[in-house]
Amino acid sequence: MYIQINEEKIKLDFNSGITVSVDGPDTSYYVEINEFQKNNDAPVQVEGYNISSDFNSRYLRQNFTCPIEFYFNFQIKIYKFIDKLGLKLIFTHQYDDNNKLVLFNLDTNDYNEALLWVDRIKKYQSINGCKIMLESQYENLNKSFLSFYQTKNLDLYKTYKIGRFPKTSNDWRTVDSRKEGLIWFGNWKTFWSYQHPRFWKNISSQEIVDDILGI
Amino acid sequence: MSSIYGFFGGSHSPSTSLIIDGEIILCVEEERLTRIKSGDNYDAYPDLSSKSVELASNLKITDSDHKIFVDPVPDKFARLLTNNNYEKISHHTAHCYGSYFTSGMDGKVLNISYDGGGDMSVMKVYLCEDGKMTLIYSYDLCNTGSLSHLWGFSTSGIMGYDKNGEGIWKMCKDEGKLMGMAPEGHYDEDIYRMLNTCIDYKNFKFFPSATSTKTAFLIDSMFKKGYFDTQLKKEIFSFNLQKITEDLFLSFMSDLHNRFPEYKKICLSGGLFANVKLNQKINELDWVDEIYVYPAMGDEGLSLGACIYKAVQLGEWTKPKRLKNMHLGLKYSNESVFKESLKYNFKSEIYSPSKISQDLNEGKIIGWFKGGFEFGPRALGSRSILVRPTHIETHAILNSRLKRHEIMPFAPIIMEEYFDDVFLYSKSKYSSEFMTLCYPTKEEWIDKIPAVIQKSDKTARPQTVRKENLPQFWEILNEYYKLSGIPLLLNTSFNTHNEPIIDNPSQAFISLEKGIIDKLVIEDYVYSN
Repeated sequence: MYIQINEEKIKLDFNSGITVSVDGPDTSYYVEINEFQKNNDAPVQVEGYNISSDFNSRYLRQNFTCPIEFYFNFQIKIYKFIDKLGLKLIFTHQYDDNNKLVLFNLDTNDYNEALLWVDRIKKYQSINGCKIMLESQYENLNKSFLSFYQTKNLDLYKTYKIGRFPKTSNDWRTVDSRKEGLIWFGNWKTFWSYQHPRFWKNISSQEIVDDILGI
Repeated sequence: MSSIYGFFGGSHSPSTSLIIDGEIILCVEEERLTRIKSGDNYDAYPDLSSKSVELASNLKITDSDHKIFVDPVPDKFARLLTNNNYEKISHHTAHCYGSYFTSGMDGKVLNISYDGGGDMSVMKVYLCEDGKMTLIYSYDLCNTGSLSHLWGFSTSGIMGYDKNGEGIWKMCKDEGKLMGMAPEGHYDEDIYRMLNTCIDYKNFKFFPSATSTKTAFLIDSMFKKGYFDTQLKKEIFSFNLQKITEDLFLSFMSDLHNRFPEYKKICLSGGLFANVKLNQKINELDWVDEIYVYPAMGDEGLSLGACIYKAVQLGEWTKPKRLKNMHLGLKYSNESVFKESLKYNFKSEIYSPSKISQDLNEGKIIGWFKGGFEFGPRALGSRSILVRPTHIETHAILNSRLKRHEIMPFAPIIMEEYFDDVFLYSKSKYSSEFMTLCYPTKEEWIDKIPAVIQKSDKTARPQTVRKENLPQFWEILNEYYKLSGIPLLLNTSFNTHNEPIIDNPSQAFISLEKGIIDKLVIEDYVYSN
């Protein structure tokens, strides 16, 4: 989704983790995401860093990306530098999929499991109020949501992949750096993979989907 | 009674310490042995230091009763070193145990640690009394601002970056240079305001979080705008960085005092308190009776803190006691010195304090090597360079020989008996034995000892020397006093710029050979060209 704030055009994409880009008159912006946790009034910083469109800059990243795909209650903040004032907050976005189109991609060959997961997706919808688009190998399930027939304005707010990722317990050794089997994400928290707060092998099918959707 | 090994490593400032039966046996920083400053050697392990302590103490790590690693722990290294038999303690717990139990303070004590982060937190505050510590505040890294990060990222950005994007100055290494520039600058409302957007304080909370990355962005932006183009501009920035640090931390201290008014003694540890100017301001607070800054205040001091923590748990260290000195590192015998000297054609003679004091009075630069090397960042009379304090020209000579940055001030050592004659505020003298805070100089002394006074704010960072704790250091001061009427000397660390303080006789002899020093006092002998 694109949002114009004064001179800055901001692009947000939550379909494969979180991606933020800023197109504006400044060459550098500071982007951070914070989480609002239950039982904690103060937001907790997940990650923050500079992005720059200046190829001579020592900051090589032009987009802000955070690979976490499972649900958490996050807020994005973008700052710019104003001479004599310092850092100025120019944009805040609170994750909120109420009345927005959310794609749920089911990665399972088990029809009963797919049914269970759809049931939990409906539970998520009842909490958050999103519009559901379903993608699975079961056409009848996909068609049970009206958005299946939507062909225009397919501006997905968020995609949730529900399944078991990476596929084997050893896959992570090649895809991310770990300590004691967990991803240590900055100073924020530890989790099993960018798709699962907990290792899918140790939990039930319902716990897998509930973990991913934060319900 | 027990033997306890403490270790810290895997990030900056690794070290190894050993306590046996409640007595400190050895404390060794890794950088002394690797010869690479820890700020240039991130992620190092206490490898050489652990081996050297084993060798010097004749106690294998695996044979010791307890092995304690401080968080964050390099698990694989720890497993290998200890045969997978070790305990962990939290980062700030180690800071605070090290600080309180070496403070010698009785009664009610506020114990504060503050740094750039360890075990996910930046600060802990304990209430202490009669050897008991009660945690009252713990601040998480992910939702708290950090003054240490403000300093670290300002340091790494102010001089610009190399072709790899690394700061010319390094965090955890060059903050002292930035602090040294501060008195030369002045208040600037705009710079103060800009820094304030990266860190603020109110009601027991430093905010916003992520001071580190926000400061990196701010400094990078200011750099591009030309805020650091000249030396004067850098000094103005440094002044405001120091000012905001003092303003915010003293607000926090004021809130602590209002909540716990009966606590008037303060223990401090963690990298923030390497800032001797901040320590000075805390010491000058009316309500503060005494402060004590743990001499190895940075992460290098964690290994000793870990040992003390365990000794306290075991009941082998029950109350705060005072350290005699910080000469806790490796030492070398006269025989090993003599053997090393045979590689050179130096003249040698038996050490005579009166002769050396004459040399000092004539302006000679004396290398001073006695006993075990210091634990912590300061040269405190074991590996020092001594010079008369009376001539400002000394700076140019020392800076040239040591390849030092001219902004870095020099500090005095002073006989305890004359401290009150020279400096204002006689509080916290025990802490001043470790050169951990500044004092204003009395007017009548400023012109007499220009080489050890900060020229703009007229303060000094003295090391108070007590005869019973450092008898030989005191003796040379006394001999110099008899000749000059000046009870102090200039003391700087025995190393050239950008290298750790020296460890062994070989490094001392090389300094003499290169002409960095005029004479070398080493154990019971004096060598010269």
